[in-house]
Amino acid sequence: MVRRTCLQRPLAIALLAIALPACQVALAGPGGRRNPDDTVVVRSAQEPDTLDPTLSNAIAGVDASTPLFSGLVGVDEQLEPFPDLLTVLPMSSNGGVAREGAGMRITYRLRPGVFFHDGHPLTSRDVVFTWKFHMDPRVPVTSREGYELITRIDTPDALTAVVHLSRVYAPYLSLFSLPGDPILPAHLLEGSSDPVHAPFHRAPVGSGPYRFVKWQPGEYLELEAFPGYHRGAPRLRRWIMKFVPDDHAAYLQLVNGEVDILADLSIDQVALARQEPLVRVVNVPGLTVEQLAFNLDRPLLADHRVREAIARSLDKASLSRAILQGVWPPAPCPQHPLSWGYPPGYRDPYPFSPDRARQLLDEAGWKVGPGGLRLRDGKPLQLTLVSTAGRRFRESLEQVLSEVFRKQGIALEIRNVEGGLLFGGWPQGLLQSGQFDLALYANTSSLDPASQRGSYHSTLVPPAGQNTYRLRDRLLDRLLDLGERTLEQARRQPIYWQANTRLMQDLPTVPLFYWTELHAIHRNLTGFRAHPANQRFVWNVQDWAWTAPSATPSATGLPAREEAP
Amino acid sequence: MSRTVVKRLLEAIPLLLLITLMCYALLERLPGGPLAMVGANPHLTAVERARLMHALGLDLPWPVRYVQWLGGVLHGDLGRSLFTGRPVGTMLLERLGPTLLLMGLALAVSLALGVALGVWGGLRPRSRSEAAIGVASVILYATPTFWLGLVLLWAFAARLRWFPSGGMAPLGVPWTPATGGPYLVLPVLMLAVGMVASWSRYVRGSVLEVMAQDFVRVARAKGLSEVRIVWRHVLRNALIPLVTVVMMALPSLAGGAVVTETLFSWPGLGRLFYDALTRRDYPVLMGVLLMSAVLVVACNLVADLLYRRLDPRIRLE
Repeated sequence: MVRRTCLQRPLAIALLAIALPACQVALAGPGGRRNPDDTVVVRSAQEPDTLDPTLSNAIAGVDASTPLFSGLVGVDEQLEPFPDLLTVLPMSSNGGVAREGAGMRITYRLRPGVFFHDGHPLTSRDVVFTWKFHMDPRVPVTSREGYELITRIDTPDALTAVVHLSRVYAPYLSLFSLPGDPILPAHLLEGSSDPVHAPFHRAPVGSGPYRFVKWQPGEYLELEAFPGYHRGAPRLRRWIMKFVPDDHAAYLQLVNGEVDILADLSIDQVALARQEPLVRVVNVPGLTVEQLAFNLDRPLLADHRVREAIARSLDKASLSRAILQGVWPPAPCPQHPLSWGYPPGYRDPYPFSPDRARQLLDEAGWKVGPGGLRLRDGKPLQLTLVSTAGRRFRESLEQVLSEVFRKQGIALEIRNVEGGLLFGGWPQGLLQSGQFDLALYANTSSLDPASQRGSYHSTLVPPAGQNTYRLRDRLLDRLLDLGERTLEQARRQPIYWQANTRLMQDLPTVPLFYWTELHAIHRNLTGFRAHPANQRFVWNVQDWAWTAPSATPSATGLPAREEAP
Repeated sequence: MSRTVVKRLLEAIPLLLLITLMCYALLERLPGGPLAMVGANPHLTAVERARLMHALGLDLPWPVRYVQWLGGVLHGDLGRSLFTGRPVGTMLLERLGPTLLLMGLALAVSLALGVALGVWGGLRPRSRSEAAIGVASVILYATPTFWLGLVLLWAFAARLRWFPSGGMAPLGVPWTPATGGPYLVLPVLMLAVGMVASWSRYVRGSVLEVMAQDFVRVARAKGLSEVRIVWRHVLRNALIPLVTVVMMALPSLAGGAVVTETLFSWPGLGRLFYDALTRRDYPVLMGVLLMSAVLVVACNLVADLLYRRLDPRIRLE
């Protein structure tokens, strides 16, 4: 028989090897934050594609690059525009904006004493360069909307840029502004033989509150406070974005004090997070609308009565309570009430009314058949719903919808696909190519309702654009065109009120809920004021601070530096 | 033997070409495409989409792009990521180190434990300890890796706080064995558990088979000690088949472990591949696939050569 010692020894050594580091980490301090008080650590599920927001197509890219850059115009959490790199907002009332023949002229007065992180002053030359960068055919910016209308930019002095546009472009305040279009440094990028692959996009020099320090691929991004920031130096010295792809692991890191902000909590995590003593859950209304979109090219859905019947079959408030813990409010209109384009006092024109829905289907000729399924000319009322796979709340919603539809005599076939297939380009993408009856997905609108033109104008039915509903309404087209080309804000508002009312009469989509973004943050973090629009929670990072020293020295944390004030 | 090696390497060239061609064609057939991420942007018109496609070089037919890519590869250029704009070679190299560290350690730990447990069980057939190892192996082998990882995280990172819950080293601190060691424990454990179960079953069977051979009986009859019999006669023969299995496992190990790397935020190749796949970043995907294909071919060859060296009865011809 073999003596036991010959194998026991290596086993014991192996076990000891595992146990030793454990003992070392076990010495780490108890609860609380595990990072120093001059640092904030933000979790990101994705790694940014680039740190140049002009080129980024990912939310992580926006979150990571917003603290690095500044735009001419900012928008606060009340959705009010304010001059960021400017001394005054260019408005028609102050002569900053004026008609110029068929076009318009915008005069930007730059704030003096603004510097890039390398100490170079930010001037009107940088505004001109930023426009040229957008228009460079080698640069894959997602959209040049607005920029392609610019005919020239005059720079009478270093702090004045006069932009001439070939036609009136009403959402002009979004030009040269975050989240996507900050001012880029001409002195670093101008004349580059390969502007797309310049090292700048990965280690940028901007004019935002934080400057780039390090990007450790797959691990984290580190920024440090820029003392010369034109709106006051940030209160925290370091801003770190940690890439934690798994939601469960990220949640554990939050309660473990390894990350301080867990953005975009799932509904399932909210209840848990609310019980954590170290954590505060912040609800932020978002401009995104969860919707049930119709394909109006399908003869069955071309009938308004069928669409209305579907809309009236849905009890949005109950659905929100059952599936979304009531956190997402029901949506009566695709435009968000926070937007000035939302018709005042607007109420859902198709409130929950299953009896009226049944009546409408009867009127449309869809009679209940033997198995409870509605039939017309021997054909069943059967619809295919497409959505994105892997979103649990949508899968729950689909189950309820299936049941609701069944009760109305409508057969629903559900097809969940990868986001790439749903949103892909013509001819593969299901939405673009029209391979659906109903589609359950989110529609994110911009701050200015002019963006609705892209989704609902009849000239932009695929493959020309993104009107995947295939809505063709001349009156709506005229309103959307007029809204985009009217300069005076007071005149634009009623145009969009009328457009949204008209849109809901057309009913190309049933808006279900307004998304509410849920962020879990450490309870001692102050100044965190999340933004309803697409600047998210990073728009005011310079105001973040810790109320009290909260870190404990830790083997897993950063080396301790000076205490926060 | 060198002639054999040269011949095998020459044979590998058309094989690799075929693999890359098939991978490229399959990736092209994946629905969605690289522009799906901006697909829902209401500002994206057909004209804008065409401009983007042109700027990214995606407007050319895929066979043309494949030939361009292949030309680059022959010049040592794997192309640039469609999303980050960075050279694919650089991106792969950045991730290769962490992956080799994690996977190499998991392999070493699992082999050490797997062989030890397998030999233990093989030398004690029908004993209680052998039965316990057998049952434990089956249970561990059947345990879903993701679930096990979550349990490890919950127990050792969240509750006991013995180990950090993710990453490779403390934020802002360079990796050294001292700073990074604790970060390796849980992911290595997660990966090694399944492998230990597999190796130990394999070795146990092999040891049992060798123990029944005549030369073991002869060794005993000569009066050799059990330790000497096990170390010099049984193990040397029982572990030969393991060489092939380990060599075949190497390419998949170098490819990274998507689940483990995702759960533990490990900056390895598995995550790079997964991210590239969701974004349809063709050049990065092709880079990882090419690397895996080369490793499979190379490991096959090395396994054959090693096998021949360990067991002179085997001929490669």
